[in-house]
Amino acid sequence: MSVVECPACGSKKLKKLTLTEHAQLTLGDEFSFVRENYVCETCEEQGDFGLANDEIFKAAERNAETMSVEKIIEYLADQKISMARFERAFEIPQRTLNRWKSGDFSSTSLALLRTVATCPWLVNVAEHRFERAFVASEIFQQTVRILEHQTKQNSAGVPGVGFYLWDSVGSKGAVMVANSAQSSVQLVASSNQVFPVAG
Amino acid sequence: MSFYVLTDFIRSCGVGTAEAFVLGGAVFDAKRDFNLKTMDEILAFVGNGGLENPVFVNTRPWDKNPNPAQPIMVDAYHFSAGDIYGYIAFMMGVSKKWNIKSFKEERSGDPRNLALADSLRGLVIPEKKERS
Repeated sequence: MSVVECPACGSKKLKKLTLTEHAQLTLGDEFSFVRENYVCETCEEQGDFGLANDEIFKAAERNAETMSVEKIIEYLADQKISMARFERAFEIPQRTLNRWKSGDFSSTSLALLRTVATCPWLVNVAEHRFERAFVASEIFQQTVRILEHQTKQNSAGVPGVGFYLWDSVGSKGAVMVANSAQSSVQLVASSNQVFPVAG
Repeated sequence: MSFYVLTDFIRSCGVGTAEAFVLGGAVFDAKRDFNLKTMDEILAFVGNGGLENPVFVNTRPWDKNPNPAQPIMVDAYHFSAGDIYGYIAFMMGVSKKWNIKSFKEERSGDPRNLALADSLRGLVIPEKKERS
């Protein structure tokens, strides 16, 4: 068994502590783990001199991720995105999500699940085979939803973004007005074009 | 002028804990500021070119050196990591391993002009992240 020494000054006069730490999983729950910490009694630097904490952390994180994957897949089902629909849209083998639920998933798989959980409309984009025109339309529709929500929150007149839809002969469009102490921006967008208007 | 050759440090980080180490405070800050959660991740990030546009800050003697007669120098750099403006400080320890002493977001003196991005973001997101 190798002797632990301080990587900074080389001293073997070390004090070892164990500490319980908590970490927040991205788009998941908090989890805890017990880590080692060495303090060098010669130079007072401290750290994981025994190189044990990475494995400890990864094991705790993996457990938390496994639970998170299951919750995300359930959440997507609530959003009317079934496992079969997800697999077909993203062109991945059927029953892949079942495998992920059982713990057989990679960090890339988890990244994809988190991305879609955050932006479920990406499944629509995938179903349209990532066609640029559809992507632009989908982004615009999502922007409208976000800004409408923002408008409701800002209805008390707090500086922010106001979003209004107009519908006149021949075209539909939207006006976004941002009011702040520093500037005012007007952006006029139509269903086909987006262009800035000075003001 | 830097004391060490930056590319030597970066190459060693790419090798991993056999040639480099991250001290406790830097591990904590890297997790908080860059979401790099383990020493392996931090070293791999640095070794894989994660320090974008590094700018040398200064070189100073290690203040905790128990043997001041043999000074150990610490080089410090600013760098970019996407949206984040960072600070890293490292030295060659007695163990002949690189020691990363600091690895954190630099919250003062960001020279990049992100005023427009911040302003536009602030129009939609009510509570924007403050840049000091």
